[in-house]
Amino acid sequence: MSDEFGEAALKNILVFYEGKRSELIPILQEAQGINGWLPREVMQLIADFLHINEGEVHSVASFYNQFRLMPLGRKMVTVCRGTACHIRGAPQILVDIGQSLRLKEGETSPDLEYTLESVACIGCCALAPVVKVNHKIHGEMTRERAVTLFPKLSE
Amino acid sequence: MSAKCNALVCLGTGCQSGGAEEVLSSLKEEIDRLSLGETVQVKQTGCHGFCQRGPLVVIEPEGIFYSKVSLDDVSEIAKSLLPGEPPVDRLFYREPATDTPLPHYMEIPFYSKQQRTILRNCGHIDPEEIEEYLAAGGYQTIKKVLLGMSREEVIDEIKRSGLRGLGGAGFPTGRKWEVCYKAQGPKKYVICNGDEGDPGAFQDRSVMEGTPHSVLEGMMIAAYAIGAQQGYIYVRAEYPLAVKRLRIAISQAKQKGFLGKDILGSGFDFKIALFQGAGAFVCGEETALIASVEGFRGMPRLRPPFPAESGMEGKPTIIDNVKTLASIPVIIDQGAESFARVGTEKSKGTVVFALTGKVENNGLIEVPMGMTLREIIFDIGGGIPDGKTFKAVQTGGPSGGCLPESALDMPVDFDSLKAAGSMMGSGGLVVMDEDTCMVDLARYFLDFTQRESCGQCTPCRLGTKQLFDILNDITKGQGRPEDIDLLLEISEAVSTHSLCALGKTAPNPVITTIRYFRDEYEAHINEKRCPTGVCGMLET
Amino acid sequence: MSKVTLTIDGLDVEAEKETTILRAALDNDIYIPHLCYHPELSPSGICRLCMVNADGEVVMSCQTPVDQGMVVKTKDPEIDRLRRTSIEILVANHHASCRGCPGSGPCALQKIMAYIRIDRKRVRRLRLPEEDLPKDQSNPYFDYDPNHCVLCNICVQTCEKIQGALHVIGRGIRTQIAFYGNNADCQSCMECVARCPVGALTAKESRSTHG
Repeated sequence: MSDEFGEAALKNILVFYEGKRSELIPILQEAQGINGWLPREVMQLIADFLHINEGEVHSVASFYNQFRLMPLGRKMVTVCRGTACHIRGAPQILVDIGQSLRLKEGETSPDLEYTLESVACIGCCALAPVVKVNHKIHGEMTRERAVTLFPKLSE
Repeated sequence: MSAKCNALVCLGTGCQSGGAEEVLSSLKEEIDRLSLGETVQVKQTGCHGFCQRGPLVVIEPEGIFYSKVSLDDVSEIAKSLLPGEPPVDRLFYREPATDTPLPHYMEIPFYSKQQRTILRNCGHIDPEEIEEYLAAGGYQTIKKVLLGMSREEVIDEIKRSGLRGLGGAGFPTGRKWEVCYKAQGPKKYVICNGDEGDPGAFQDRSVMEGTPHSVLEGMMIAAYAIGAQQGYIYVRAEYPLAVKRLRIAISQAKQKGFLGKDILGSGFDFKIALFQGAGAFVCGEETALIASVEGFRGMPRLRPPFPAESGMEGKPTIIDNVKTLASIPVIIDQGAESFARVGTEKSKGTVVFALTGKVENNGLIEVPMGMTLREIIFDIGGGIPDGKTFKAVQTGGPSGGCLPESALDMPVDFDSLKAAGSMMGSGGLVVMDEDTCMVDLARYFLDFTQRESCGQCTPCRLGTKQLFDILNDITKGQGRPEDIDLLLEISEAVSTHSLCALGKTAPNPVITTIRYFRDEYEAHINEKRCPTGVCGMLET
Repeated sequence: MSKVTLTIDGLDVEAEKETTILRAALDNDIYIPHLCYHPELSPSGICRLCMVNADGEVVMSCQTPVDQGMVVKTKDPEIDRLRRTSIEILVANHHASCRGCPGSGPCALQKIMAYIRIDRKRVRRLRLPEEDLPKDQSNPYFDYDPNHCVLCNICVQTCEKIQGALHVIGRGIRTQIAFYGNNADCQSCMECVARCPVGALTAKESRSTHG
């Protein structure tokens, strides 16, 4: 059987837990590290481990911003909408990036190249407005520079 | 430069994003190269406060303050530490009005007007070294408590200090502890609430990053007082540096015997575990936080019963904010009376703010309760940049309100802020200038709360969405004449009927912006015009 | 169990000591608007509609126990005013019309709307939801229509005690009830459908053509 969803990796995580309900969120956090999101198969295995219903795991995971129930694009584009970024023009930057990627906030492109998201506050308020592409932070963003972050698109 | 000194490089999150880590390692290399290792110690510290001027380097004991330090400045700073060399005056902070250089940080108004109690170690010690905390007098109060005070005496001391919860609501800490102390049961919990979710607030993060051992020591004292054996620190996963430093602090405290079994031979057992929040603003509410630690959706539960009587797993639990807990060792150390001498009649001690927005000096500050907003914004904050005028200040994050010019001489304490329609909240202070549209700002905060509403109770789930939709229409030039009254009517229903504090306080930004800036709403609705030009109106 | 006497809307009512005001009122045929209360479930207190004036204080009647000599008023101008706004918001967000709704008739929301004599003109001041949400028809025995759902949580609480096949998912305005396609857990007892106070959960046979 193939291990598409990292069953082996998940089992390596679960050995450190006792199987108590209160471990659900830490387990989900670690499990998300395997694929970058939480495939159903992974949630099913976690449910079995904790002796709870699969729907229960989904119910909890769907509540928190951190957990992702859909695959992500290879490039995670995150626009900060913190107070400082907001005052300095983040909303327009989100609109512009959305138009050039042809994505709405929260969407992933069909080819899994890009995911566009906004986040409440990255914490780099002094560099506002801020756009993050994967782990790289691009500060003092302008409408003009925002679009040049994605050179592939202009080809 | 003097014979022996410390070169402190601030590695708070703000300074790190400006390249402080590179400055630190390069300064270490330079000091080695100049064979100054014997006399100069290069150390990392937590947040020194003046984030906007980062990266910061401070030379102790003189207190020489270098701001906006880049890699290119490092060799010059290192050379200045050679015997007889003068400091690098081009890196001094300069008084904006007169351009006078101010070499020592205590001469800079940003610092000189502050009173650093909770933050006393922040920016001065290496948060990753327990030895430094010990050398600064750390863990003396837990010794004092375990070896010489009864549980009742500790609670009495906290009660007499007048300390109120610094997470926002301002409930008297000693009274909460007493309820939990009296609650029956062999198993109790202490939880440190580090789920600081307000956009524009970073004071809890800075305390956890800058002086993690103070938080642990406060938790230990709380645990001893109420009779808990297990503690949790609930910290946002979005704060990786705080997580890392708390982890280091916990393991060092264990090694030194401050955590574990039979602590200091007193027979008191206590453990602390970290719990990383998974991203939900509502988890700052204590019953939602408990649900989250138990592995459930972070939805607030009905109170009563209050957690002090029935909290985590139904056991008596106290949940205190990071800054509240960090204040505990200070109170035990100084004594309740000395602590209570600072502040106002009903709000004792100091308060930590993250000062941000359209203000000259952004950063982390601590002031005595009762200082006026004007002193904070114009003396410490240095006023409004670019010659613009002040319009409003927002306290308490999305749960707080926007206060106008006329409120500037109000003393900052729990009760005054509440009376003016805002709240202390967890301590964000965002300054707005003439370019900020207050309708857009209200829309912004309601966008936040309607996203973060847990969705459980009807008034909050649907009411915040209605408020947002109406504000959205107004900012697009589609407001209707009856909308202002409608916003107030919905706000009242949401704040009266919601189940938890998130819903009850969510309308505050709407209510206060209408109360103080009604003319801006009217311009948007009646004239289809945004006075500041922020809102792109459909009609022109 | 010992009994206490209280007054509800001027009527002397006898109730068991531990019972809530809401239950004591309903047992005596005094109606108080509510959506999330069910006699066989513990009160969740989430619809926030059942407030009354008890001895001068506004309280949620589903959470407040009765007391000897307590004076309860189920209506007063202050309560009526704010409750009206809450109900209007609820109705504005109810994506569906009553025509052809399978819940119509015994519908708890209809009952509340009649109780406050809903004024459609006032509801039109509010903003209506943009789009209809897709139905979940994945369960072999019943359908879920989120457009009709008031999120009272009665179905989830009911199923929790039987199978645990129903769950709340999402957050805020996107909160919904879901089966998560996990129909193996559903024993088709239909208790959730029977207890649904509106037309959100409906048995397959009675599926309506209306949205």
